Parts: sequence; C-alpha cells; structure tokens
Amino acid sequence: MVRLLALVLILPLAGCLERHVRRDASTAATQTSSSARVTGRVLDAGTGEPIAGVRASLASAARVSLPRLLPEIQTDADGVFTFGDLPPGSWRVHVQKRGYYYGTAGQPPVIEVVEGAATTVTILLERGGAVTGRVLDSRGLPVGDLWVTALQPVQRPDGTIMSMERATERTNDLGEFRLAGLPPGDYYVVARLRVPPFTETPLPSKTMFVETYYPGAAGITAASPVVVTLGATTQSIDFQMRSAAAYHVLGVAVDARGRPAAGARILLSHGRAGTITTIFDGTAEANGTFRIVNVPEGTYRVQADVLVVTRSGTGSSTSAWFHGAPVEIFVQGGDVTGVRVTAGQP
Amino acid sequence: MARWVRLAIILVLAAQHPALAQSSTGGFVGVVVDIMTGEPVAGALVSLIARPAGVPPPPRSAQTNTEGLFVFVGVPEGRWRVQVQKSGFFVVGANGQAPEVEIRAASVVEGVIQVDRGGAIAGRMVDAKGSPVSEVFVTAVPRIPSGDRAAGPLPSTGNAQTNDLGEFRLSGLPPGEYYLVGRPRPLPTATGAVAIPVVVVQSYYPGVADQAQAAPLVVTRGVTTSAPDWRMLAIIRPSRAGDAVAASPQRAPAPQRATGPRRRVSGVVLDPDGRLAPGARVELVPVDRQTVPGAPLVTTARPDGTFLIGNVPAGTYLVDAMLASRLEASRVHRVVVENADVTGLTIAIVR
Repeated sequence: MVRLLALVLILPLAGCLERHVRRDASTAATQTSSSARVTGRVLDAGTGEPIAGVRASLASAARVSLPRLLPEIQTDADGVFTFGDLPPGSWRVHVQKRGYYYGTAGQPPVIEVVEGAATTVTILLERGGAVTGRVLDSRGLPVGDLWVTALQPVQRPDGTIMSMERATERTNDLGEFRLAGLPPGDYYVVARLRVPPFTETPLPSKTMFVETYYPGAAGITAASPVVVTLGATTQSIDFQMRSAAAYHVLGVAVDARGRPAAGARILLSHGRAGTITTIFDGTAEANGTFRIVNVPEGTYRVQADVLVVTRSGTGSSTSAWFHGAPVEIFVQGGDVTGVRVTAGQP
Repeated sequence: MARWVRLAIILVLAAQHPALAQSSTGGFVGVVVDIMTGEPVAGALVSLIARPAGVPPPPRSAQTNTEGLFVFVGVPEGRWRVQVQKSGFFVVGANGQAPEVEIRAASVVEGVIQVDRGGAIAGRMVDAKGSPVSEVFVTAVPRIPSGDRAAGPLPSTGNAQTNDLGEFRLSGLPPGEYYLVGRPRPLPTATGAVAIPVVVVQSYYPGVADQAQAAPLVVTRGVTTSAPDWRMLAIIRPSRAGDAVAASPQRAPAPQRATGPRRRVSGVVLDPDGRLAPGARVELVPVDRQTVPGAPLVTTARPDGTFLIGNVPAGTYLVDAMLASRLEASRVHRVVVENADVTGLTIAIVR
C-alpha cells in the first residue's frame, strides 16, 4: 500500500524556493504508528553542513483556527529535529538560530501533515552579515545597557518605505554591540535608552540620551546607511549618543462632555509611520490629570485611549480599545502644561 | 587588602514623608554612587525583590536618573532584597550578598548604594572541531576558599549568552577567583513517542565536566581576563546504540563488569521553567547486559537541585527525573558509567 506520505507545501513566495526548501520524498513505508510525525533537518545554505542547536517549533497554518504552538525543541548534532504524535493538518515550521536567517525564501515553510505519515522537511538557513561598533557619550566614555537596532528599509506594495527591525542587541560595559544574522542590504543603526517594563515613575533628569542614528543623527532621514554583505562583518560603526534637555508634559484627559477620563491610557509618541517610538505609556489619575517626566525637546503626539470590557451572559468577555484623537505638542526650552486630550469614545 | 569589601550599603531610616505614606506601604529613595569616583551612576536598574518567605510580591524596579537618584513609593511592608544592575558594576556588599532594606508603613527609607567597577571575563566557546558554539548560557561561579565553606555557597555572578561567533563577555565581577560554567539550552530534540534520549552535559572552563578539574580564572578590578578556546563538551547528543556520553575526559574504551569498582552519578534537575528542582525523584535504571539486572537506583534532588547517586556499577543506564508534586517528568536520558564518576548531568523536566 503506497500512500503519499510526504507532502511539503510552501507558502506562495517569490524567489528561489527550490534552493531553500527541498522536497524530500523519503517516506516511512514501514511506519506503523497511527500518529503523524515531522522530521526536519536544518543545513547551512553556504556550506551544506548541519546546524546543531537550532530552535524549532510548529504553529498551525490553518486560517480558521487560532495559532497553536507546540513546545519548542532543538536540532541535534546532525541538524535533525522530530515532532512525534502530531495532529494532522497544515503546520508552519519556525526555526531560529543566532547569526542565521531564512535566506531568500524569507519565511518559515508550511508542511501538510497526513494521519499516520512521516513528513520530512529540509530547511536551509543562510549565515547573515553582521554589524559591530561602539556607542560613546559626549565625553568619549562607553555607554552600556543601550538597545541598538538594525533597521532595514523595505518598500511596501503602496510604494512607501517602512523600516523593518532585523536585529536588536544590548551594548555591553564597553559600549560595544554586535548585530548578526542580517540579510545583505542597507541598514540604519539606531541606539535607544532601554526602558525596562514595569518600572516605577522615573525621577526627572535635566538631560536625557535621545534616540541616535549612526553616525549621530536625530532621525532616520539624516542617518547614513550601513552596508551589510553576506557572511561578512561591517566593523567600526562607532557613534556618539545625542543628549537633549528634558522637560515635563502635564495635562488632563477628558471625555466628550469634558468630564475627567479617569484611568485612560496616556501615550506620548513621536516619529512617522514605520518608526514610531513611544516615549511614555501610562495612566491618567482619578481626576483625569497626567504628568510625564523626562521628555526631550521635540514634536510629539499625546493620545488618550480607553479600554472597554464587555461581559456577555455566558461569562465570556470581549475587550476593545477606543482611541482618542492625537494632540500634537511641541517641547522646547521648558515644561509643557495644560495639554488637553479627549479620550476615545466607546 | 581588598578595602572595597568593607562598607556595604548605608540605609538610614528617615523622617516620615506624609505625601508618600499610605496605610500599609512605605517608600524607598536613594542614590547609586560610584565608590571610586564619588560620581552618581545614571541608568542603573534598582530592583526590590521579596525574600522567599511568604507569598512573593512581584519584583519592582526603578531606573536611576542622571543624578543617580531613584524612588519607590507604595512598597508593601517587609524586608526586601535590593538588586542593582548596571553593566560593568557590582554592588559593594558583604560576601557578594545583596543588601536588604526594611520597609515600614508610612515611612520612607533613604539609602546610598555604592557600586564599584568590577573586572570582566571575555572568551570564546568552541566545539570539538574548533567551530564556535552559539547560544550557550555562561555563568561565573565564585570559587569558595576551602576554609570558608561555612559561609555557604556564593551566588553565581553575572551571566551571558554566547553570540554567533561563540563569544561571550561577563562584566561587573567583584575581584576574586571564578569558575566558568557553560550550559546548553535544555531542550529535547524530539517529542512524542519518537523522543530520543538525550544527555545535556554542562562544561566548565577550559572544557571539563567536573568542577574539581576546572581551571579557576583570576578577576582583577578594571581588567578583562581572557578565556580563549573554551571547549564545549557536548551540546545535546542523541544516544543511539553504542553511543557513549563524553562525561569524563579519561574514559576507558571498554565498559567494566558489575563486579568492578563503583562510581557516582551526579548532576542537577531543572523544572519545566528551567529552575532548579529540589525534591525531584531521580531514577537510574540499568539497561544493558553488562549490568546485573536489578531494582533502579533512586534518589531525591537536594534542596539546591543537585543529586548524587553513589555505588553505581559500570554499565549503561537510563536516567529520568520526576517532580514529586506533579505528573511531570523528564525525557529519559542515557548514560554510560565507565572508569570515572559521571558528573554535570542536567536533567530537564518538561511539561
């Protein structure tokens, strides 16, 4: 009884798929188990050598169901991983390894898993390029604990350019960073202050480090691109962090009838589509007021959003955000007070 | 010598700050200062971590501003451990222990936290072929002087992950002697009925499984100590027929009979979240012809998550671990006991 046991489907993609996902016709004719299995092999596209220690996971590729993730496993010394006892269906194979990327296929392959069958998939990963450098302050001293990100400009179908975040690393105690696994191309390198989650309200500072693009620009338009080539390291991307005076922004969030919007989510952000950075994400007080400290000079948008949770009779609940109209503010030379934003209306 | 060890953290109970006071909560304000220069340290992450006793409140963090100042308000009463994270620095405290702060209702504690520039260890991890090994967790474990065991184990200091070139850098280490431990990610290579037994071996610098054979590295203030070509013993090996575990650097080619000398098998058990799992049941089941068939050798992981099974005859065994309270078990590991103790096994329990 010959059955079609291995069927590897690929997402509709441009580029040379043949090179990156081979269809392996190897089937397990002697397999007696009724549950399906997927065996994957991960190889270096450049050398053909197996890659050990690659994290692999499967997510349901079915459009209707919610993404279902299986526990993560990893490849052995032969670059092989196996998911056993797998429910049949379409699965997307996610693999991840420092310094590598999916190659021109660009995304994880999708496989069809058939009841009682063993499916084999070979995934070729490309060793990307890297960018290394150092971030210093105005005195020439290293700045540690910054987040440095490699942004790749990508053209969207409507012709506009957006920046894709390809890698983010923290600077070490010497201010050094290394961004690896980058597909070849032009990149913008940006350093930002690390804002850890769940921190207390910070105390005011007189000056703040502000987002700095290599070689020292305030924005992406004035930044210099960094060229990355396949498998090579672009070195000495050193730059100085910019500082700016920091001020307070005080205001009140109200509803459509001018009453205080207690507990509204207050967002302060800047930048344009694709490179929006949120400076503050907090909550309005019971009287609708908010106070944002450490805002460097610049143009920002302030917005008040309201979360509404609706409970149905069956006990399930749904929630929705109602976004308020953004108000543009200009911070220069002093604190900004009396900002009035209208919260989102349910 | 080592004057820097002396004064730790100065905590002064301050006058009440009514504005910050609440019924059962207090405040903690302070400054982080570089002990050598006297300059405030900006951008340090100060965290309050509850002691293990009782229901642990979530840790709270604050970042110092450009004047090195931080503030916590509305902190539940009690004793909290204070942790300070800033690349290249360590908190000047007694015996590497984190300082503590007593928060009382309706009052504010003021503190000066002194930090010092530590030393660093930088190096590269390679496999048997000399190729870089990435994504390995590297920790520096302080070497305890033999006469000072009563002080208890020192916490491991600093951790890092090797990058795509196998490189790592641990900074902000208090001066002293350290062992380096590299731990591969404890993930299985297969799931379900086809699960392949795996053995995860942690590796001490310069490439041994046993801490007793490891080479300690000397860390000096402001200096980077080099740890080049650190050899990773084994990442995760599928143990197929006849495949032995490279757990001992000097193993004999042929396994010995059960009548031969007895060895010890030791390691650590990790729970599904990757934490040490004290109380887990560890079982060693003999599986090959060289071993006298018999009951499995069983032990319970100690409070620090380590386990040791003594008096083990040479042979091939399956090792597994199980949590006492839950129905969660590890994958079955396969281990070959030959002419040396097997140490450094990491057995990960999965959900």
